[in-house]
Amino acid sequence: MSYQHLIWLYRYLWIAPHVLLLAVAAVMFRKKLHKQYPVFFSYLVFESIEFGAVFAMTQRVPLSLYVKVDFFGRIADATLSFAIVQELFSAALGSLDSMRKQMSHLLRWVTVALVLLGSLCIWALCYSRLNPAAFPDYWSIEALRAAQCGLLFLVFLWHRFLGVRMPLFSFGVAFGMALVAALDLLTLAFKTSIMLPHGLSIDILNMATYHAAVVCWFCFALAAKKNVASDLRPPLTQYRERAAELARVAR
Amino acid sequence: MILLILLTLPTPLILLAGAVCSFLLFLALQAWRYLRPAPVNQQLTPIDLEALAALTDPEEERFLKLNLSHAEFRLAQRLRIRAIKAYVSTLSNNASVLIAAGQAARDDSNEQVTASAREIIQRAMRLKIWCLLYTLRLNAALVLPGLFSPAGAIAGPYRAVTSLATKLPGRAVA
Repeated sequence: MSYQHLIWLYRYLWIAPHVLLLAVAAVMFRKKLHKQYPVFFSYLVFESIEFGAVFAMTQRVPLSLYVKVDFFGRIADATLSFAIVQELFSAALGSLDSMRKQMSHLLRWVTVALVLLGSLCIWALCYSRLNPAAFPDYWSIEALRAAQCGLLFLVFLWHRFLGVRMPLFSFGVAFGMALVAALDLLTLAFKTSIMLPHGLSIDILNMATYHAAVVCWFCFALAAKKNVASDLRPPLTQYRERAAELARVAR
Repeated sequence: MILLILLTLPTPLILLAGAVCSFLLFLALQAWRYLRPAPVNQQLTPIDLEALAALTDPEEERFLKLNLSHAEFRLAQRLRIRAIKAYVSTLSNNASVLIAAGQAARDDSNEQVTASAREIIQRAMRLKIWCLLYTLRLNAALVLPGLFSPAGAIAGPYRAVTSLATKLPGRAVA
């Protein structure tokens, strides 16, 4: 593939996912999923606005300012992702407010512990680099991404532990976010640790992952039903059978 | 070229790459499990709660300790702990079935059913967490039977949640 083709691919992968994000938001709004996942919906809107701002800046502002805006955008993106993880944890609890509160307290401490652990790992990685002073701004993003991977790992374990099937849209969101967080962590670590001869290829890999995640969100949003809880409701006749079993067990 | 790059990579970066690759494999496994149409277990496994209560009775443990030699007590204790672990595992699975049943009835139009379903979910989740913690304690007792005791009241919370669940179906049908 020639350099010109790579540039076209780069442009496509930069613009297309952000346009698709708006489509995901539209599908969510139409299916009233924005009420169930308000933080994720806000994330989609934020990402789209941020992209619009950054895209408009590319031709008009100096590179240093552009890098700063991009950096703060990434930090905001990673921070918002923690709130989405909390939303995914509580999706299994539905309207159980007291348990939600207990869970959010617990999750806050787990998040702090994971951020500390992630920072420790990234610190170890930084000091193994040939030039530890290079790219210091991106250390924090790497640490946040590492903690995010840990939390998303716990989201899957939490549902497995409870023995409940994750709502369809929750699964799509968690899967896409985990994919982006893992690949972003790895590519950032590679980019800031060693000087690769094909830096553009790594960027393209990262952007392609994000594109795949957005397509995943779009497909799961299309497949999700308006009332997710109705997926889980068994036929009423099963209640009678279950009642008989429960009575036998409790006797 | 790739081999040369790999050879020059710092060890923490290799470890990080390994961890990320494992995480990606885990994700692939989750997706495979989620998309594979697997039958959901909606049946409760019957449990002899009287037997479980007897196994976790501290008085019985004291009786065994007084009447058996140290070696015999350790052996008997290990056998009892293995039996309790099997019961607790079944209890945990039943709690999952109850959570699923509660979730199914959570959005019912009948408010009483909804309230019962919420209570079932809360209690079943607590029971599930309790089972996890109790299993950890049992594992410790299995390693050091003289130091940790498997005694504990487990049948009570289970009885409470199952008796609540019996009220759910009749009302849902009504």
